[in-house]
Amino acid sequence: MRGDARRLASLRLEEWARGDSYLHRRDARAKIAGLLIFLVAVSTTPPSSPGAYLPVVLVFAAGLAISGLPLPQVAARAAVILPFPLLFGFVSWLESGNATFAAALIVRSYVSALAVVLLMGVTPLPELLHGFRGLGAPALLVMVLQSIVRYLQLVVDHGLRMRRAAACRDAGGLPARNRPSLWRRSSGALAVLFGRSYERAEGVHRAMVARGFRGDFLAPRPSRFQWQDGVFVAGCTLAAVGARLCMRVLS
Amino acid sequence: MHIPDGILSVPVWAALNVAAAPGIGLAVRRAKKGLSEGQAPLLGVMGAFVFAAQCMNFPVGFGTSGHLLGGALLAMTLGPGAAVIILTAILILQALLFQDGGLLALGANAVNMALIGVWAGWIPYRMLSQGPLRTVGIFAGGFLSVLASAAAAILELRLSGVPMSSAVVGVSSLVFLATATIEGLITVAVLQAVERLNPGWLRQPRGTPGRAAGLLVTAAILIVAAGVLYASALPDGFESLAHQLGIASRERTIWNAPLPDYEAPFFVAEWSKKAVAGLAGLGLIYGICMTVGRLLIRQRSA
Repeated sequence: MRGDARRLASLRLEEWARGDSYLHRRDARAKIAGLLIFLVAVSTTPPSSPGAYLPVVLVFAAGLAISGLPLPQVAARAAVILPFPLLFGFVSWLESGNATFAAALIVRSYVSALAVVLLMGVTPLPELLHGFRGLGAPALLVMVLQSIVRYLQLVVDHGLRMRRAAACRDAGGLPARNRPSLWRRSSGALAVLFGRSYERAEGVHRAMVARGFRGDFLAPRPSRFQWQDGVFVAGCTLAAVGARLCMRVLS
Repeated sequence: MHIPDGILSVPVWAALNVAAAPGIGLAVRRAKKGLSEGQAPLLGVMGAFVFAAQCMNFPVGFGTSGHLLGGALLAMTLGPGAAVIILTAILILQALLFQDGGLLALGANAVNMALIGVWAGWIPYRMLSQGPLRTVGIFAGGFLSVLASAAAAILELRLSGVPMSSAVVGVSSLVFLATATIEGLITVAVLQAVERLNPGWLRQPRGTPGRAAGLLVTAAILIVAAGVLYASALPDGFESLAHQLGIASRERTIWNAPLPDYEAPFFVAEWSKKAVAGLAGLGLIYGICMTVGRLLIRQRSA
């Protein structure tokens, strides 16, 4: 999880999500349903050989072409998940000697991550969260998600500023004999950040209530599930079932 | 340890998604009781705090540093219900924005970190926070929240058929023990610092369950977590002796138990036989203890 904040700073997903392709125009609920269907198709294919996942890669490639997102950057973003499957693929290869199984595990994981990046690249996050709410996610959970997104950069920037200030005061680090002191200072800094976040949260809540907040964020734009969205979900289902049948033959 | 999609087998991720839903639902109900209308931004900002806290490093020696994971700290400050919701929200955002963990594996990650991690962190604190062993309770909370989460993840990977020898599990256990110790120490340091700033920010558990009960529960969580990592498939002492003496073949069945050899025979998959039998046994013992406990309380109050 470390470094998420820094990665957030260079986030391109928001920029991509402002596009106007066929996928961008679909209702968030339809896109979530499409993604889940795709992921289930990938996940239910036994990892017998990496080549078995070729049909779903083709389905993903079609989606990417329709969306107009840049392949190298999407591939690079999805590569973030690779350490975990690489580690367990390597372990399973060492233990069982089955390199094909290990490679298939890695491919399966990576293709799933590519699909998630595609969804995020064609759907603005606020719309996606409203989509979750529309699909039955608890209102409180969705509101917490919206609040985290809203205040994440603010609190993270505050934390980074505090860290920078502490580093300046230390003038480039402390000698080893002073480590307990550094430990105490780190915990103190975290406690101060906790307190400031807590107070900020209470202030934010009071300000929102003063402006008429009654416990629900407004949708970024009115979203209606149209017949084109139904066609999209049906298309996703057909593509996933077709790919799944092809994978069965290939595996 | 965020499990991505594609690693867990279908029965494991499907079962854990089904298991996570009511757990999170109950947490939402529990959190709503402690929050006033529309106070969700508080949870959101505290979720953002956890993200920020993970950017701040602590020196842990040998030229390395560690950082807070935050499940136990959130439980001790906002209560377990709110902590479960915040951690679930963080897991969803990590899966969507940072590709850290999968969407189909969200149930597994939520069970490991948001449910098991938070409750394993909360229970020792709840049991020991109002006595002389308070610091032990806080440390045990941080320590067990990480260890229990990691043990659950390892169990799920093994149930999914990812082959792991005892050597691999041993090395992983050492890493987890180190991480859990760091989490325990950071949780103690931060919580004490928060308490110095404003004691009102800490969630004070209601009632005093007693030191013995606290130690017992802490030990139970520790044994379960360690048991998952070091469980042996070899027969127990009596079975082994019976095999060596050659009398095992002479055994006769007097009564067909519903869960023979700790397995649920009506399930096909090997993993589900053991898992269902374990859960059934756990539920049964819990039910018996609850019933006996209530009867005793009624008798005493009468």
